[in-house]
Amino acid sequence: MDLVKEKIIIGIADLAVVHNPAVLVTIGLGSCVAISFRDPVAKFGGLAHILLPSIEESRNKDNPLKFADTAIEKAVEMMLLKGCVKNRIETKIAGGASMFSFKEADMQIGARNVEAVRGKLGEMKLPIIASDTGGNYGRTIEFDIASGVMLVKSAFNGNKAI
Amino acid sequence: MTEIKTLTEFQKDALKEVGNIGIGHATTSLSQMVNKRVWISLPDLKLIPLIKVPDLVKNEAPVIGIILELTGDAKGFLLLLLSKKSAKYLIKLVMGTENENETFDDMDQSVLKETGNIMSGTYITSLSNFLGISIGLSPPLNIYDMADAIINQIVCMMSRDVEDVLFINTEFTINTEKIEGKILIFTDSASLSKILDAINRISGN
Repeated sequence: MDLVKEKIIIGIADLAVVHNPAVLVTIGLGSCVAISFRDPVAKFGGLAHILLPSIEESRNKDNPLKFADTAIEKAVEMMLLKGCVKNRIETKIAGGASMFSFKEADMQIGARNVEAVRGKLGEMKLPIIASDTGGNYGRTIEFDIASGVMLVKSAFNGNKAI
Repeated sequence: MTEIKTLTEFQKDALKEVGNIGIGHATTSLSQMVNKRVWISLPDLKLIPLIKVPDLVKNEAPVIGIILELTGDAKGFLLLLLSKKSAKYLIKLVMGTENENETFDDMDQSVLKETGNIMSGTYITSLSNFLGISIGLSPPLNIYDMADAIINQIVCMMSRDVEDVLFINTEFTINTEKIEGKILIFTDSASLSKILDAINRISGN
């Protein structure tokens, strides 16, 4: 019997950590970055959708889930609370495009998000086992906690499983 | 500057009226361009956290997006969205001929940009004139991708300095030609207070 897996939509500046089976979905990533987390043994997985690199640079610090650094910390904290073990957690990242720009600084928004995510994951010693970032097009992400496969869909640049 | 978190009924009505004037002029210019009657919806206007904007649009399908940056007294973005079909019909209407391809060639793209330019130009000029404030517009950029992703990038671009936005969504249709589009305006709460000051000046409050 085929089980229909529950799909959970993750909005912008949002995070979910859930037990297998479930598919975590985030629709229409532009310059934002989605980060998946998975502990294959504890069978927990998470997906975060960040829009800015760092809480340090921001005037308003109300929502830690907006920023790469604080959202990653929060996700790992939630994983550990659920019984995951830190050195088993694997991550994947997608997004960080630059779809259009009015000035030079706009071009960097997606790239800076990706850089901040990579930096924070490196600092926390969480391996990035796959990624699909950059480019000039939007992406929709479906992260299957059971298999750990991240499906990256786009309008005109095909779909890929990473 | 104090940040505006909520709008009174009067402010909401006044902003809707101002939005109506803008979209009225924009659709009149479109109507003159294609020589057809254009219908408009009442503007849907909300003051909401920036990160909640994507929930209001939700459209994964690829669309034509024409984006202009607002500068001066009102900062933010104006986004014109057309489904692929509507964009094709519109090009046919303007050009008289049809490109059979699935994609949009250079000529198609410049027609779309020009349409965006004319509609947003008249929209913003009529607002500036009516309110007596100065709003500038960048040249248009156009993009063919998921609507959600286009909005996602606008949200990213604004989010560094902005918490809440005034979001105005108006839909227009040319019934006889099956053309449907949306004009979305995102402006930050600092600009909103300038707009409200201008409304107060005009209404003598």
